[in-house]
Amino acid sequence: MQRKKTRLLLSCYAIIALMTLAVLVGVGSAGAEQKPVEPIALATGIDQGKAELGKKLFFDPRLSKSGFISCNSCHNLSMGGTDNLKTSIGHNWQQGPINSPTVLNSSMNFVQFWDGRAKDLKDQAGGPIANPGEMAFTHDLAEEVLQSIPGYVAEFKVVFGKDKIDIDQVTDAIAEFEKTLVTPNSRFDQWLKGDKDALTAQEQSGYKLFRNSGCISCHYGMALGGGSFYKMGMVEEYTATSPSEGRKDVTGKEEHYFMFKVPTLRNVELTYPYFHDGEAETLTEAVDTMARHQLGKKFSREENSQLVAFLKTLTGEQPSFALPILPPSSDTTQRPKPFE
Amino acid sequence: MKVTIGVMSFLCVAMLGAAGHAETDGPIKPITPPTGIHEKKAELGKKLFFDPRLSKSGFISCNSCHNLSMGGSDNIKTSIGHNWQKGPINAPTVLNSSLNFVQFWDGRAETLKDQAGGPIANPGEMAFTHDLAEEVLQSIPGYVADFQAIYGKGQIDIDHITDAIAEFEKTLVTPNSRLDQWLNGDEKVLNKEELAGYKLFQDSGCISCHYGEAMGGTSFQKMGIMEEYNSKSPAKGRMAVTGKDEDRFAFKVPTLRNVELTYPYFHDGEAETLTEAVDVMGRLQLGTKFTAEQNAQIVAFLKTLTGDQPTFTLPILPPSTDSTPRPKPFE
Repeated sequence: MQRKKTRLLLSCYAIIALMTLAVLVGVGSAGAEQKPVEPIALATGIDQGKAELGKKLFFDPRLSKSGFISCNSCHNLSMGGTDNLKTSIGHNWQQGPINSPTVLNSSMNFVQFWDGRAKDLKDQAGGPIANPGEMAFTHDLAEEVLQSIPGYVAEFKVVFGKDKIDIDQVTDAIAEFEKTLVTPNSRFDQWLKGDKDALTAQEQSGYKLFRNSGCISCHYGMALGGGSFYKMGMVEEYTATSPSEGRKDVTGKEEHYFMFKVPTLRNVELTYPYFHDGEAETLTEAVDTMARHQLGKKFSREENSQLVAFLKTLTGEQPSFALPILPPSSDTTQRPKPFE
Repeated sequence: MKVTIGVMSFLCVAMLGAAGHAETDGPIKPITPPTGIHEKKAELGKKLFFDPRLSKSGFISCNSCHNLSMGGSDNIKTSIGHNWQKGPINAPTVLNSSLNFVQFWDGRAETLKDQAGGPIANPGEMAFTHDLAEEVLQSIPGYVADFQAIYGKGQIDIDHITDAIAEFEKTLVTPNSRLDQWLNGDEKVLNKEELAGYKLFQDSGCISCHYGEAMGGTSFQKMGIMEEYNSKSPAKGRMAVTGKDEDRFAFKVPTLRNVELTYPYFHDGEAETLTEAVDVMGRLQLGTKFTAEQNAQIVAFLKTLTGDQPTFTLPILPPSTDSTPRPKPFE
């Protein structure tokens, strides 16, 4: 009885919160929306030389112990910025503990990683390089490898004005590249900007439901997410297949158990499977789970379809660039160690 | 064997005497850009080349081991396969592979199309099957549309898949290396050391195996002619295909195009540097011990064989659907 009461209370709070938001957002308007959602803006103020260098590094598997894994391996820019696996494959084929978030529009996240342990893109970039379960390298070795490659030494010199390459520059360059990975002009954004025909009736119904049901209370902003921590399993407990405890892993506080950074819904059509453990294979499943666990709602099949149709309108223009050509190693470059 | 070397050397020396004129008729020809490419087919092939859904794990694509950002190979001794299996042999570069007379070190595939199906179904590599690859692609509307437009069929089969990949690979030639510029008449583009290296390359006999547009890829030769080569790889070479004892350790001569990028060297990947590779080749294939100076000259020459790397937009792959079979990385 107590549990049912709590659920009811939580559902009420949720509904009140998002009804407020719904008022703010407006219903059925095709005009430019204010804060709750807004079209993706193009990246500005990018240091092009730095971003080009960052692009090479993003694609360079020599930042891993095996010489086989690059950032692009798990944040694959041909595939919506993730690897489309439940959890990633690391050095020695280790099974990762958590679903790889998309790098697309990651510049819009208020913090990085599911548990927010990195404050920005630059902080995040150094993580996987030194994670024994991922790229299994070290920052020192990464610096050493790059320092032995004349092509990189020259480029770092031009961009940073220094002869010595350090991890700070490495991650700075990678972050600069990642800032360029925004995906404007989704059909939803076109509709937000005033093109009334950009969304079908079904998709517009989906957007209306998205607002009225409360999805928007967590999935708001330019990224439709990435702006806050919320508990996974607010109304109904979520049993995860990942060992992660979310924000609690960082703060140690009990009240942060299972709080995760709300992921972006931009390009969600491409970033299956869903949730921090990757256990929802399809959007239909994800929408159903979100409703039950976060909103205390059971969507009808029709409602679910409308929401899914709406979510598919969030696919923006994918990054378009030439495949980078990496500078060759020299005789003194440390050899990769895939099998040691 | 020595007679062959002698004849080739003589021819090359004779031709070098005409230095300063374009040498496009010699045993080494400049790489020419590909012609007659079916553009749409090559575009489709490009997507497939980059698509890890052709592997069981959904993690390994052709580009994983034939990495087009890195000279067309993975720069490790032998490749990493499904489950992190250690491969038995060094990944050959896909660059200029259209110039190879056969494919694979042991020549077991006649054409690029034949080769493309191999790694997909190899349990030690992509660990998938042709049937499953067809099934996966058939479930992806973006691919169905592409295949329909090109092949005119609603049903995707492995024949089309490998045909498209091969068409893309044909575009991966690398013209305009400094050697090719020199062969085409630019006298200033090679320095003294590189020219000396080129001369040695011919006089010593390297050219008797590493000839043609690809400077290799046109014959099987024994690895360890003058002196036996103790390999770390279990591969028996051509003998694995023909069963003949005289083919033991005969391998398709690899191309030297872009050799500066395709370390480490030999079928077992055991030579880490060009200096090492040249030394081993000298001793084992020619019975010659190059001096440090000679070695440096040949290495300098080999570095002039790096051509224009492929330039293209990173492909965006069509998304899977709810009905696409899920990858199985950990099963």
